[in-house]
Amino acid sequence: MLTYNNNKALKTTVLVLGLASIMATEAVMAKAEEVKLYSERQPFLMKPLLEAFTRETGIKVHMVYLKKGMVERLRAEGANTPADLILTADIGNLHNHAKAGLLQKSSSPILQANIPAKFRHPDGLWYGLTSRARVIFAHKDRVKPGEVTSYADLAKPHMEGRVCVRSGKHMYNISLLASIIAAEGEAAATEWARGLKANLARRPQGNDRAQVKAVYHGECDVVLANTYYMGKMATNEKSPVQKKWAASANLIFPNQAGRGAHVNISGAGITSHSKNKAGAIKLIEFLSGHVAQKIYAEGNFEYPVKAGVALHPIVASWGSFKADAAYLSKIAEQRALAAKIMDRVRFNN
Amino acid sequence: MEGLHIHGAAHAYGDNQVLSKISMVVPGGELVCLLGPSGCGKSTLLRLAAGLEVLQEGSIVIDDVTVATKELHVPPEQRRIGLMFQDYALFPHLNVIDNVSFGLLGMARAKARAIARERLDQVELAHLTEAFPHMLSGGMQQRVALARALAPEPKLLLLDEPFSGLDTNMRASIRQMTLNVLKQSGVATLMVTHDPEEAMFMADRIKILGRGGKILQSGDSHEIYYHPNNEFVARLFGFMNTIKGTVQNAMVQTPFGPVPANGFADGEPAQVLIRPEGIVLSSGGQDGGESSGGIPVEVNSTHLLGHFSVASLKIAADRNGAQEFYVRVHKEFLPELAGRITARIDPEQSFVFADDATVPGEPMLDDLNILSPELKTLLSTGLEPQDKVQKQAEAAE
Amino acid sequence: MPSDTAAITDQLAPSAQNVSWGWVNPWTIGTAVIAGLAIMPIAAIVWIAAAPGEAIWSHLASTVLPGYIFNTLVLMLGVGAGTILIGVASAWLVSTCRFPMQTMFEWAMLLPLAMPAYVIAYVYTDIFEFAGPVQEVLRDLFGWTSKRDYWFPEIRSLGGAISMMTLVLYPYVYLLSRAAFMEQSVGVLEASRVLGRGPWGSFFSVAFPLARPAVVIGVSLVMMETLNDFGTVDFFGVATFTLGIYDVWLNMNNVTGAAQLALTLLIFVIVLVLAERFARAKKRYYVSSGKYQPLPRYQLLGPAKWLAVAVCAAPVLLGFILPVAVLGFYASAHLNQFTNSDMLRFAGNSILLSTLAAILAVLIGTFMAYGIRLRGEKLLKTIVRIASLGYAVPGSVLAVGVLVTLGALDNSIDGTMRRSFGISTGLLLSGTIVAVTYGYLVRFLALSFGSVEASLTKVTPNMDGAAKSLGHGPLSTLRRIHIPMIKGGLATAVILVFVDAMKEQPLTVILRPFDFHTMATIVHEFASDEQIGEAAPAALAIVAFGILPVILLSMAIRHSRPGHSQG
Repeated sequence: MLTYNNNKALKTTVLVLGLASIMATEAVMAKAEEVKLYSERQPFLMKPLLEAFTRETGIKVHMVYLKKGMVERLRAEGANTPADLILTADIGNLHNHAKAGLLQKSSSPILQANIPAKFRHPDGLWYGLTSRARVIFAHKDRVKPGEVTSYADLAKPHMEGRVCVRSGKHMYNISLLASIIAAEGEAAATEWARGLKANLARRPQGNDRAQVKAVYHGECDVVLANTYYMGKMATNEKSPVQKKWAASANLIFPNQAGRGAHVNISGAGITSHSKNKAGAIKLIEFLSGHVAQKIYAEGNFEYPVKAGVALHPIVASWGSFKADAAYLSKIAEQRALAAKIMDRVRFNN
Repeated sequence: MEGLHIHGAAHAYGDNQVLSKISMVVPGGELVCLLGPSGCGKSTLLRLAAGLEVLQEGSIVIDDVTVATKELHVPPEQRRIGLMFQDYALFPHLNVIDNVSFGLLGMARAKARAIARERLDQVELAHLTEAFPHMLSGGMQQRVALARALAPEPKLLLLDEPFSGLDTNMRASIRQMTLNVLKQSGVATLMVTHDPEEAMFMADRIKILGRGGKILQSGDSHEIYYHPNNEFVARLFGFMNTIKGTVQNAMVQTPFGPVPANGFADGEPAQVLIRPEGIVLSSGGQDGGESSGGIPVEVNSTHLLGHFSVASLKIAADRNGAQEFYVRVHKEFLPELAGRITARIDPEQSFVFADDATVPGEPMLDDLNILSPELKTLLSTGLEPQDKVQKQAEAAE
Repeated sequence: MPSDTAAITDQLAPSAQNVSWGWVNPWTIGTAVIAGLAIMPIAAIVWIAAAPGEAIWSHLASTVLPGYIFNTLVLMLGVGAGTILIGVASAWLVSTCRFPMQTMFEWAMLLPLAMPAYVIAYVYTDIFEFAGPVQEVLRDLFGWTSKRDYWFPEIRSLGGAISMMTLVLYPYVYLLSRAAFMEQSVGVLEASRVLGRGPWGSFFSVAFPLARPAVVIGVSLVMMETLNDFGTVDFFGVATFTLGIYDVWLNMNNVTGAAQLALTLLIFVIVLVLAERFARAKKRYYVSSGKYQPLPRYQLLGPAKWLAVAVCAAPVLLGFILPVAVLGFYASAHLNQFTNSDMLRFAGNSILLSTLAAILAVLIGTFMAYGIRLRGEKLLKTIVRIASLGYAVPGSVLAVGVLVTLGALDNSIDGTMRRSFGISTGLLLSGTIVAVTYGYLVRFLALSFGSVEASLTKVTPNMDGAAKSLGHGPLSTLRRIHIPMIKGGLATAVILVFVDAMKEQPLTVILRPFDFHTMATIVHEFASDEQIGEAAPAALAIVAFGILPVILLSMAIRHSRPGHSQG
C-alpha cells in the first residue's frame, strides 16, 4: 500500500513538474519580443517568410496551424488570447473573424502603400496578402478555342458530361458561387449551380489537382481550379507525373469579356486582444513587403498584392487578366447563401 | 448388430499413450460402464466414439455403420449419438426448451418443441421450459442435459461422469431417475465414471480401465466386486486392509490365520487384501468366539456413519504390532458393551495377489479418489486423499 | 461500449455493493468529479447549441438532411456489416482452427488498426480512380479509351468509404470477438456438434450468439469511429451527417446550428445504445462458464485451409501491407524528411502525448470502473455513461467544447485573481499540452473505461468479499486482486488509446500549443495542401509507431486467456 502511494505521489510530482516546465518555457520565451499567430496557411509555406521576418526584425514568431475552429478558439480564449494575429487562406475566414468582432482596426502607411484598397478592409480589420484566381483548365485538344470562356459556359448544355469540379462545399467553390450571387443575384446563381451540376462528368470529388489529373486522363474536358495549382504541378520534381497533367490543359481566365475572373485572397488580421499590436503590424507590413511578396509569388505561384513585385515566370506566362472588381467582403457576405444553394441543387449528390 | 463396437482403438497425445488397442462392445439396449481413475483415457474413448477426437488406430462402428477408422472420420454431427458432458455444456443463451430441441433438426418447430416437452416431462422438468440454464440447480441442469441428449433419439448415448457435479444427497435420486429414463428409451449407453458405486448401480456390464488405457477386467458388478482379477481392480472399490507375507505351503500367513495362496508358489512374496467388510467380528459370546475361528482383537476407535460403523482394531496378541485394521460393521458398534471381540476373515471378501510393484495400473495416491466417500471421510486424516474431482465439480457450479 | 457491460455490472452490483460507506467516499466522489470533467465539453456543446442563431433546420430538412441521414445510415450499416464479417470470421478462424500461418495472423489481423482511415483513402483513390494504375491497365488491356466504354466501381463513393473504413476498423471487432471466442467453453461447441449441427451450424447457433455481446461492443466502437470520421467522407465527397455538421459550421458560419446537429447525432447514438440494451435486457446471462480447457483446434485441410488463409490475408493485405507499400513508394521521394531533426522531435511529441493519454485514460478508466463496482448507484452510472459519449462526437466539434470549457475556466481564474490580487494569470490550460491531453481523455474515455469495466465484470464479487474479509481495503484489493486479474484488459485499453491517439488529428490541431506538431498534424498539414507525397513519411511513422503496441496487444490477449499458460 505504501509503495503504491509513493508511486502515485511520484507520478503526480512528475506531472506537476512537467506542467511547470511547459509554463516556465513559455515564460522564458516571453522575454524576447515575439508575435504569435493562428494560421490557416500551412507551416511549410509560412516558414521561409517567418524566418526572414525574424532575421530582419529580431521578433520571434510562433504559430499554430489550424483550419477549423480558429474563430472558436479566439472566442473561447477571450481577452487572454495569446494570439496577436491570424492568417487565413480565404476571404471567408477573414470576414467571419471580422464579423465575430475578433479583429481590431489598425492603420499603417506602409500597408496602405503596399496593398491596394480592394484587397484590404476599409478600417484595417484585415489585409489581403496574396491573391489567386479561380480559373478554368481546359484540355488542349478536346476543347476548341473559344468553346469555354466564362463560368457561365460551364453551365451551358454544350458542356454536358465534360466538366469536373471538387466538392461544391469546398470553400473555393463556395466563394466562387458567392461571387456570382453578389454579381447576378440568388436566382441566377442557383440556375448556374444547377446547370453546372447537370454538366458534371462525375460526382464532385477530389481536390483541385485531381480535377486537372482527370483532364489529363480523359475523364473530363474542363475543370475549375485555382491558378497556383497549375504552377505547382508544372514544376513538381518530386512527382513528375503532375507536370504531364499540367501540360495537358490550358489555363483560361473566365469572364474576360464580362466582370472578370473571381479572385480570392489570403490575408491577415490583428486580433482584438493582441498583446503586441505593434509587432503584429510589423509582421503584416513585412508580409506585404517586397521580399515576402516575392517569396509568396515564387514559392506558391500566387499573385502578389504589392504592385511591382515580379511574378513567377510560369504565372507570368498565363498573361494578365481582368479580375472581378467586386469588393471581397460583399462576396464573403454571400457565402452562407452559396452553401445553401449548393444544398438546394444537391450539388454533391 | 446394434450398439457400439470398438476394435483395437488406440490413441496417443504426442508421446503419451492414453489408450492402447482397446476393443469393446456396447450391445443395443445395454448400459456399459467404463470405470477407472482419472487420466486412464476413459474420456478419450468417449470422445473418440463421439467423433470429437480423430481416431488414430482401430475402428469404431455404431449400429453397423463404420464411423471411424484410420482413414475415415465421420464428423460428430453425422453419427447420431447423444453425449452428456460432465459440465453438461448447456447453451447459456438458450432456454431449457430450446436447449432440448436444439438437436431436433429437420422438423417443424412446433413438433420439435412437442418432442422436447415430452423429454422434459420424462425428467420431471416440464414446468421449467422457459427457464435459462443459469437459473437451474445442478440437478436440474443434469436432467436438462439428459433430456437434450436423448431428444434426437440417438443410436448411442455417451455419458461422461454424469453425476460427478451433483452433491451426495441429490445423487441417488438423480441416478435412479436417469437409469429409469435410459431403460425406457432402450438406447445403447456407454457411461464413463470413476465412482465404483455408481458403476455398479447403473451398469449391466462394467469395464475396468487402468492407466495406459488398457481394459483390466470386464464383467457384471458381482464378478468385478467378488472376483477382481488383479490388485488394481480390487482396490478400485475402496480401502483395502493389506497384509504382506510370503507363501508357505500354499498359504499366506496373516494375523487372522493362514489364507490359501491362490496358486502362488512357495517362497513368492504375496499380499492379502481384505475389504473392511471382509473382517467379520464376533462379540464376546458364550463360547468366546473361538468356535467361529476368530482371533481376539482390541478396538481402538469406532465411528458411526449412519447405517454402519467403521472401527479400527488391533490384534490383541500382537502387543507391539503396529498394524491397524479397518472394519465395517452394520448398525452402531459399541465395543464397550461388546465385551471380548474376535475377528475372522470372510474369504469372499479377501484376495491374494502377488506382492509386486509392477502390477498393471497400480493405484497411486491419486486413486484414493475412488474410495467410497464414507471411508474417505474416515481415512482422510491419515492418508489425506486429494479429492480433486469433487473440488472441480464444486468449482464448476 | 459501456452499455454492453452494463447488463453484467447490474447483475453483479448487489453483491459488489457490500462495501457500503454511503456516497461520501473517495471513490464515488472521485468518479463523479472525473465524470463531471469529462462531461464539461459535451455540456459546452449543448450550451453553444442553445445560443440564439440562425435557424438551419428548415433549410436542411428541405434539402440535404434526408441525404445526410441516408448516407450516414448506409455508411454505418455497411461498415458495421463489413467489420462484423471480416472481424468475426477472422477471429473465429484464428481462435478455433489450425491452418498455415495461423499464429502469425493472430497478431497480423490487428495491423490495420495502426492505419488512419484518411490515409488509406488517399492511397486507394490513387490506385483505383479512373486515372489510377488499375483502370489504366484495364484500359490498355481491353482497348477502352473513355470512361463511357466500361464500368468500374467509383472509389470516391459511399461504397468506397464503406470499404476504406471497414478495412481499418474491423480490428476492433476482431479484437473483441477473438477474446470472446477464446473464453467460450469448448463443451458447448462440442455439444452442438454431437447434437447434429455441423461446424457452420454450430458457429451460427452457438458460438456467434455467445460472442454477441463482445461483437456488439466492437461494432459500437466501429460505429462511433465511423460517425466521427471527417477525413474520409470529406475526401470522397460522401455527404454524411458529420460532413453536414462541418458544412453548417464552416461554410454557413453557423456554429450554433452545427452544435445542434452534433447533439442530434449524439442523441441518435444514445438511442442506438439504449435500443441494444433493451433488446438484451432479458438476457443477462452472458457469464462464461468457469471451466476452461485448452482449446482444441479444428485442423483445416485441403482447400479449406487455403480459404482460411485467404480470408485472413485479404484484410491484412488490403488494410495494411498494400497501403504501407504505396506510402513507402511515395515516401521514397521524401526520404530527407526522415532524417530531419524536427521530424524526430515531432515523432517524440506523438509518442509522448499518446503515452501520456494512454496511461492517464486507463488510470482514470480504472478508477471510474472500480468506483462504480464499489458503489454502483444508478445516477453515478448514468453520469459515467454520458461522460464516455465523447467518443461519438466529431473530433473538431469536441475540440470546440474543450476550447469553451478551458477558456471559461482559465478566464474565470484570471478574473478572480485580477480582482482579488491584481495579478493576471492569463490562460493556464488553454493552448497547452494539458488541453490536448484533456481532449484526448474526453475522447478516449469510452475506450479505456469500457475495456476496464468489461474486464472487471469477469472478476466475481466473491473476490472482493474474500479480500475484504482478509482485511484489505478497496485500494489494496484493487492493487492486489483486480489489477493482476484484469491486466490483459488493462493492456488492451492502454494500447487502443495509444494507437488511437497516435492517429488523432482534429483535437490535436485545434487545441495544441504554439509551434507544436505531432506526426498526425504533419500529415494533416501536407494533406490539406494536397501534398500526399510529403505527408507519406509522417503517415508511415504513425503506422510504424502503431505496429509495435498492436503486436504487444495481441500477445497480451494470447496470455490473458484463463487456463492458458500465463506469460
